[in-house]
Order: sequence, then C-alpha cells, then structure tokens
Amino acid sequence: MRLFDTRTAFDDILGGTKKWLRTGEALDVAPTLQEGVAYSIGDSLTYVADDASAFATESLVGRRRYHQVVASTQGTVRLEVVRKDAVAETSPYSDLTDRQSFSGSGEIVDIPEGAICIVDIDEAARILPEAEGAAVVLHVTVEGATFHNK
Amino acid sequence: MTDPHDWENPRLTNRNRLAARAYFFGYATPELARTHSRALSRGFVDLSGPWRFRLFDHPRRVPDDFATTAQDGWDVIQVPHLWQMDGYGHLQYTDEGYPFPIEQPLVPADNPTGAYQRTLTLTAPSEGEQVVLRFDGVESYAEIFCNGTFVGMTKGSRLAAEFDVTEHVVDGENLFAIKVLQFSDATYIEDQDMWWASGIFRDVYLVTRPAARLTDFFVRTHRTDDGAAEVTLTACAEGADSVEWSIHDDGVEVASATLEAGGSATVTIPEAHFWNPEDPHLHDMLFTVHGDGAVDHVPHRLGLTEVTIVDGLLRLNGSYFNMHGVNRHDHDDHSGRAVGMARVRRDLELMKQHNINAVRTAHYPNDPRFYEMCDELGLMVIAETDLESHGFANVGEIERITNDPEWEDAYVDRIERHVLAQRNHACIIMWSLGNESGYGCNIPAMYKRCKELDPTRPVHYEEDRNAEYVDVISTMYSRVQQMNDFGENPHPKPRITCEYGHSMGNGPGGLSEYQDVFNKHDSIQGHFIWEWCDHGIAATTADGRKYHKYGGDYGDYPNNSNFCIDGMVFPWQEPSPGLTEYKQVICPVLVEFADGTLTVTNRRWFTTLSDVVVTLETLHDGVVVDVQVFTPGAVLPGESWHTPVDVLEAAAGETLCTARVSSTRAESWTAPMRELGRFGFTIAAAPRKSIAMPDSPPLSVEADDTTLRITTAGSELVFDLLSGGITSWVSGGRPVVAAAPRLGFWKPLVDNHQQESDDLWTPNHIEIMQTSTRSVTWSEEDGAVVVEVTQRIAPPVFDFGMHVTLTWRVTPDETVDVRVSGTPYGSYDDIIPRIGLSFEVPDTQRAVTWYGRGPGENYPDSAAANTIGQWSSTVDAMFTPYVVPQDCANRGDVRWVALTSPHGDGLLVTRPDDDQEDAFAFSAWPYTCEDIDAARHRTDLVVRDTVTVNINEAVLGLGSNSWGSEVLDAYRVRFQKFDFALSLRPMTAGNFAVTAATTMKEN
Repeated sequence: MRLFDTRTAFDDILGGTKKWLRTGEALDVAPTLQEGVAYSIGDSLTYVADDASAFATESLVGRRRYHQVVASTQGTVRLEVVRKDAVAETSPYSDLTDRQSFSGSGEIVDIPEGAICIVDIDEAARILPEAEGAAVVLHVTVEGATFHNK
Repeated sequence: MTDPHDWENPRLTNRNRLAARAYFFGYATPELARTHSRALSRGFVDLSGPWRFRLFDHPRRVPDDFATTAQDGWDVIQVPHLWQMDGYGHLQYTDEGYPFPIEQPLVPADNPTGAYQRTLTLTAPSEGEQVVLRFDGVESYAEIFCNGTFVGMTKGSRLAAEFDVTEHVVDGENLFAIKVLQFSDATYIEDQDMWWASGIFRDVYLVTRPAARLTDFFVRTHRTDDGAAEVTLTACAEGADSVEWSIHDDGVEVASATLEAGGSATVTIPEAHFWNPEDPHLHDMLFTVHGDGAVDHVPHRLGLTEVTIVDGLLRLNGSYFNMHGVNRHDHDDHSGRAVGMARVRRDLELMKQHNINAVRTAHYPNDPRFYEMCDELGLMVIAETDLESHGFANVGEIERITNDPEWEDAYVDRIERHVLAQRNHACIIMWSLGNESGYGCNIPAMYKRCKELDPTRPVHYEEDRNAEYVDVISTMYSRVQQMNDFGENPHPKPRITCEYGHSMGNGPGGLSEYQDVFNKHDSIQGHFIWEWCDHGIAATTADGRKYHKYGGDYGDYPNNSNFCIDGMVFPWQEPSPGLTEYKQVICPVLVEFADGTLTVTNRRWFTTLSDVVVTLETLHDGVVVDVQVFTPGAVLPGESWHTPVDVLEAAAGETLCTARVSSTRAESWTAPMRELGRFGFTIAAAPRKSIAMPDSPPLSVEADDTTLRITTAGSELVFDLLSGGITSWVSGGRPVVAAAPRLGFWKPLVDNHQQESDDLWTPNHIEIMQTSTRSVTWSEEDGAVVVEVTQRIAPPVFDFGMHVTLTWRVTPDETVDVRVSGTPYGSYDDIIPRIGLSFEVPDTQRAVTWYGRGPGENYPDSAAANTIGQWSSTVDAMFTPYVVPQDCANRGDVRWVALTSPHGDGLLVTRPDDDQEDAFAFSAWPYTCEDIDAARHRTDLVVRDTVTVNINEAVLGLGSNSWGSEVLDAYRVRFQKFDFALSLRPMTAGNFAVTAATTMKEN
C-alpha cells in the first residue's frame, strides 16, 4: 500500500509512468463526469467517482491485474488494508472481475481529502461502510513498460 | 517557393462533384426495375475493364496532351485495381505511421501519379437527359477529364463520387482521362492500418438519367405499439410532375402514395414484417417518376427497421439485441482493396455461417453493394466513414487536425457523403464518424451534420471517450475485467467495444471470458473482433511454392511487418481456428446438461428455436455409442426448454455427452442442418477392470560406463548414462523414437506472446535455456529397470533455473514410464510458454489418433469449439498454415495419443496405468521448434524426415496481447514447481484405443 498525501506528491514520484499519468488525468476529469459510471482512459485504467459509501464492501477484496487506487475527493475515506497472505480466502479469484474475497482484518488507513492510496496486488482492501466522504476509485493495470495502449 | 495545389488544400474537397445521394438506378420499365440488375438500368455503361495506364513519379510529368489524345503506347491494365498490386510503384504497410514526413497538408512533391485513359463509343444524350460518370472508389485524389475538358476533381477514396458529363459526351468516340495521385491532403485522414496503395480500385460507370428523374430519397420506419410500420419517404426529383411510390411484400402491394417532388409522405403497413438480422425480410419498393412524357422506374429493397435507445439500451424494432461482430477491411490477397463482389459475398456468408450478426466497416465505407448484401443476408452494420488520422499519434498529437477548424470541411464532407449514400439501408444500426483520430472540434461538427441527415440512427465514435456527443459509448481493447467494470457501473448511453480479440496469428484466446461478461451486462450491446481477414498478399517462390507477403516484404520501410496479419480468416479466405472458436463462443443456442436434465436456451434476439435440432451423442471412452435427437420447438428469445434425458453410462471407463446444435433452415448462404455449435458434458467415470497380462520374458540389462542397454523379447532401449537420454529405442525391428525425450519450457513464439517475449522471455533468455545433466543412476526393481536422471535447466547469464528429476521405469512389457518433477531456484517465477517433454519419432509415424479435445486446434483459453472424443488426423494436416509460422496444432484434455504408421505400428502416450492425474496436451509437427521459430513465411519451412512430438503438462493460454489482453490468470503457466508422469508404449499394429483404455497388470 502506498499513500500519497497530495496529488503533487503522487505526480512527483509516479508521474513519469504512462499509467500513473493517466491516473492523474482521470482524477482531473472525474469531477466533470457522471457519478457511479465507469469511464476509462485507453486500456490503462477504469475509474468511477461516487460517494465513498457506494464503494464499501463487506469483504476484503484482493485484485491481481489491477491496482485499486482510492483518491479522496471530499472528506476522509477509511480503507482497511492487509496482505493477502495474512487473511483467509473466501472465494476463488475470478478472471471476469479481477476480484477475490478475503476474510480477516487489517490496518485502517485514513485517506484525507486530496490524498491518493494505491493498493498493491499482494494486498486485499475494502472501503469501510461508515465512510462519509467522496472518492474516485480507479483500477490501474499492473501491465508493464511496453504495455500497448493509446 | 510554395505552389498551391488542389491536392494539398483540405478546404477544397472537390471540384464539380455532384451532391451525394442515395445509391440507386433507374430503369425503363417496372419489369426491368424488379431485376435489380444495374447492368440493365437506363444508360448503364460499365467502364471497368481495360484502361490505358502509365505511372509517373510526379504529377507534372503527365503529358500535356493526356486529356486530349489517346496514348497508344501505354500499358493496358484492368480497372478496378490498385496499381501497386499490378507491379507499378511501391507497396508499403504501416499500421499508423504516415509513409512521408508530417507537414500537413503537404505531401511528397514527387507524388506518384497514375494516368488512365479509356476510349468509348457513346451516343450523345437526348434533350433533358443527364449522363453521370460515377466512381465508387479512387485513391486518393482524382482529376477527371472528358474529351479534353476538365470535368472535376474528387477526394475521399472510399466515398462515391459522381460527375455530370452530359455536356461533354458526344456521339461516337469519347476519351475519358483520369489523373490519380497517390497522396493528397486527404491522405492525412486516410491512415487506416492497411497497405498504402492507390488507383481506381472500385467500379467506374456511366448512367443516363431521363428528363424526369428521381434524384434522391430517404426512407425511414417507425414501429408503432401495435406492430405496424409507419414508413416515411422524402423523395427528390427533377423534371417530374409526380413521384408514385409503392411497397410490395411478396408480390402484394401493402402501401402506396404519390408525392410532389421534394415532398414527403407517410404510409402505414399494419402487422408489418420487420427486418432483423435473424429474419432479414425485405419489401420491394418502387418509384415511378413521370414528367413531360418521360418516366423513370427506381427500385429499392426496403427493410423495415427502427433503431431506438430506450432507458440507455439500444433496441431494434423495439427489441433488445446484442451485436456479435467483426471489423472488416476490404482485402483480397491478389488484388488488395480492389475486392470483387464475389469475395465480399463470401466474406459475409462466412460471417453468417459463423454466427456473426454484425460487422463494422473498418475504417471506411464499402462498395454500395456491400450494404445491399447485408440487407439481404441479415448483418447489422456499424457504418463507419472514411476517416482516420492515426499517424499523428507518432508526434504525440493524434488530434492535431481533428481539432483544427481548417479541416472541418474535409471531416464533415466525409460523414455527409457517407450518410446520404447509405441511409436507406435496413442493415445500418449506427453511424461511425471514423477511427482513431483523437478528439476535437471537428467531431461535434461531424456529429451534428450526421444527425441533420439522419436523425433516426445513433452515432458512434470511440475517441469521444466519455460520450460527450455520441449516442453510443465505446472503447477498444478493454480487458475482460475492464468490460466488467463498465457493466457494473453502466453509462446512461449504450456501450460497445468496437475492437477486441486481436486475431494476429494463433489466437485470440480468452474469448469465452469476454463473452461471459458481455452476456452478463445488458448495457454492453456489441463487441467487434479485430479483425476479419489477414491482409497478406499472395506470392510464389521461384520454385513455385505459394506463400503470403506482409510489411517489409517489398523492401518497404518503415513498416509494421506482420501486424496486418491479424484476421480470423486467412488471406485465402478460409477460417482460422480463431474464427471457429468465436463461432462457438457466440453460439445463439446454449445447451446445458445437469442432473439428468437437458436445458436449451434461446440466445437469439428476434426469432424462436423452431428450426433448431439438438443431437445428443453419448460417448464411451470417446466413441459414440448412442444418439438422441431433441427439437425444443418455438422457444422464445431468452427463454429455455428443459427435458429429462437418460444417458447410457459405460460400465467401465468414461462417459461423456456431446450436444450438437443444428438449424434445419436453408438459406442462400447455408444448406440445411448447419451446425450452430456444440457443447460437451462429463457424465460419469467408472473404474476399469485390470487385465492380467501374460508373463513377459524378463528384461536383459547390459551396462558400461556410458551406456545402459535394456532388452526385452521384442525391443531394445538404450540410455546414455552421461546425458540421461534415450539414444535408441527399437521395437519389433522398427525405431520407436528418432530423438530422445527432453524436458522443455519453450515452444515456438506466437504473435500473441510477442509482448511477453519482449518483456520477459528474451531478456531472461528463456528461449535458450541449457540442459545440464548432473547425474544418471540406474537400478533393477521388481523386474523393472529404473533410471533416474537429474538435470539443471537454466538460461545462460542468470542465476535462476529449474532442478529437474526424470525417473524412467522400463518394464518387461516394453512400457516406459517417466515421472518428471521440477523445483525452481533463483528469482524468476513469471510465466513461461509450457512445461513438457519433446521428442522425435520416425517420419513414418504421421498418423495421429487421440482421445481428447478435438478435432481442431485448441489451447487452454481457446477450447470452446472443440469437444472431447476420439479423433484422427495426420501430422501434416494438423499443422495450421499461419502466414507467419508459429506454435500450432495443440490438442488439450488428452487422455492418450498414438502416432503410428499406416500399418498401425508406432508409439502410444498415456498417463501411467496407476496414475489418476489430469489429462495432458500434445502437438506434433513435421518441423522442429527451431524451424518454426526461424521461419518468417511458411515456405521457409522444409518438412523434416522426423516428426516432432510435444507432450505438454501445461501450455500457456494464447490471450490476445499482440494488441490487447494478456493471458488471463487462469491460463498462466508459471516457472514453478511441477510434477507429472507419462507412459510411453510401442505399438505393433494393435488396437491402441483398447490398449490405452485398459489397465494392464503384469503377472
């Protein structure tokens, strides 16, 4: 898990990589788009803007091919994060959704407004249901440097 | 220094070109009109055929008297053609890069220029008649002259262009002269991932229109709540007193009206028979135009369709639907984009035969007869216009001219001409503004003009990413999981994926998972495979062998090599295994079997299953022993039919069922009993009884420092005690293997793994791993000889690899079992192409019989089209002739495989008798892996005098990452610990099926 306090910090460290540049681009355009709708930029990422509570899940969710990225756009979003090997699988991984459910508990991370959190693929996470803020949640590919996209 | 040219002026789209209009012909009588044969239309003169031709390297080198004087010394070529395909100029293939420096709107000054001449004997038109010269396709810029007079100029290569030559045509001989430039400003918006080639590549002809004539019409349909069709017509005419309009259905008039020229009328057809892709019913429409003694009869085949968007979903005639589509370029391997209509029809018929119901005209309009065929055959069309400026992506500004008002006229001209020409076709579900040109001010301008001309249909353009203007949101190459994200969080507008499943070489894989997601989410209403056909160009070696060329083969540079060999159909217009797989994945009938109940679900959108027959085969150990036939009847779209089924289970061995779904319907494009798809089910597995084998004479063993020789009554097997390999295996006096089994992780690279190769395998030298045998020991155990070999298989340079143990067990009955295990060391744990044993057998053993998935080529993520049974083929027939040779011929879920001579002797591979492990995969080639990897064309391959056999424990899925989706997680093979066992038995003209399925026990 990587937490960037500000967009500037995020851009400074990751802004040289296409998919993270596009993450920034998505965060810029998200406020102009419809809430609850998935959009994409190239084939690097999909993203949805909504109330944080809309993203809440009961189970911890692990992904393998897409980083879950949570950017708080209003208020503080609470995220529970844990390494996959520290919790129990409760469903098989699905290639259709890039999701696998886990049970257990992890570290609670507060994502204040303007901060960006990247969940790594060896981790499972969930946005807590009591979250009251708003967020943009992105799924950013783990594919590498020669990744074809537009 | 600049010299302004018409061909470098994007604001100038034409000179004297007639306004675009609907494609139709006028006839002298209603009877002639009903033939729909344009050759019988009034004054039709086909100008396709021989033309005098010369290619110049500069427009100004065309002789001054070119327009006035027949140039008798020139070559004669056949129009339509692309001159590069006839050996003039140079072919070049790039995906997106312009073949010249970018400095829009300038193109090379030394612009290749084709000069065409045709002399015709004509009769001058009568008073009031109009003679129109029509081009259906000229690339990219044409100046037209008639009898020395400049007639006009046109751009827009794949848009029809008409010129009024009434005043120029004379009685007697007429000289038509056409100057065609390869490049123009228009080239900047015609960068469409295809061969750079030019010429008059579609038909050119004259038509004579009478004094009273229809000039254009627009017909559209509205479906009322009670199932009637309200059909509205707007008709434009010249010299006409009135326009009579009638609609007939199966010879019976169902509606008629009389209009003023330029007027509109609406008629109602109660209980109308609407058009849809499953039932492409067409009505006969006829215009009769009267005026001042003249009459014009114009036919049109009318399909009643209405496309609406209700609650964010597309509907056709009120019904939800989904487009199972492909992207189609025009391509013929002998003539390039100058495709004959017979080839086009076969393309469309192949689509229908493979359950495809939609086609996107990527990335330009087609010959007008294409849309007529789609109306007739029943294919929904995303009608894309002639526009792509992709090359600007190379300078980081794909939207450069799309966002430049200087180019607005050029952009709008293209959608205007396209819509006006095709808008009367039932098949067109939506318009597309073009492809991969970025987003900018010219897109909304196109959209608005499109809606003015046809307010009835939705508009698509993928790079309006957030659907600011367009009516249908679209992406390309979004992965399975991304499509699921879209489905779970739908946009208010309907969604399609306009390109996916990049079909370059072997593949694509993963189509089933895509389809699962598409089927799950109503908001995803179309998916279009990239692409239909390989763009290979037929060629012949000096010694007469056939192959196909691609980028770079003409000395063209830069080029994108074989990136144009990315279709589901081979250049010779035969389906690839990828198309077979797609057919199954989109099968319009789903068959399931569980708990003794057969369930048949209608996945069509408009029609019932009244024509469908399900043949359920019961197989015992892969052999059909029983057949039951079911007719589900008139099951409505989306509904299911259930029936209990008793399956005859095998007393011993495996029981499987295969359901074959067929349609009894005969169409112009198919005979009755066309198979729509097939589904396999596992029913039961009963243990087999052991058969006590007669005593075999004991093994005889001789060993020295380097050799172990094991002899039975009928065979001899020799191990090298240094390498651990089998150096000789002879049974019944015949060699069983020609080269020793070796464990490997590499197989010939497929195009869809090129990214993995570039990123992972080549940098880690996976393709050149070295095998080092560290120990070989042997012993005698329970009458068998056991040879244990330990090896290290690892790449040079690095410090990772696999520690491997192969344990061979040779028994007196001549069976050789081998257990193979591997433990990785070091840092590499990513994906690899395969894990398996490879060896060679004598070339006499070319007959292949297997019990597993077949009959066709299949891979773990491309296995839906093939079911499990006993199949037979030959090594040569199993080798798929991909244009660029690559791994092929894989068969998965294999219980046993035998490679034999015509007399039945050879080698049988199974799992060991006492081993209940999963099935394996195999492939067999008449070449080595190295041969295939080295070959760039299939003629590079020379058949070996041995057969390479690969018995694979695991094979990496195909994916479609030549442009798009990596291999899904479920189909990844990693460089991790493994353990498996195989059994090899020499065959002596025996019944290998019985042998393989029998548990034998030595006494």
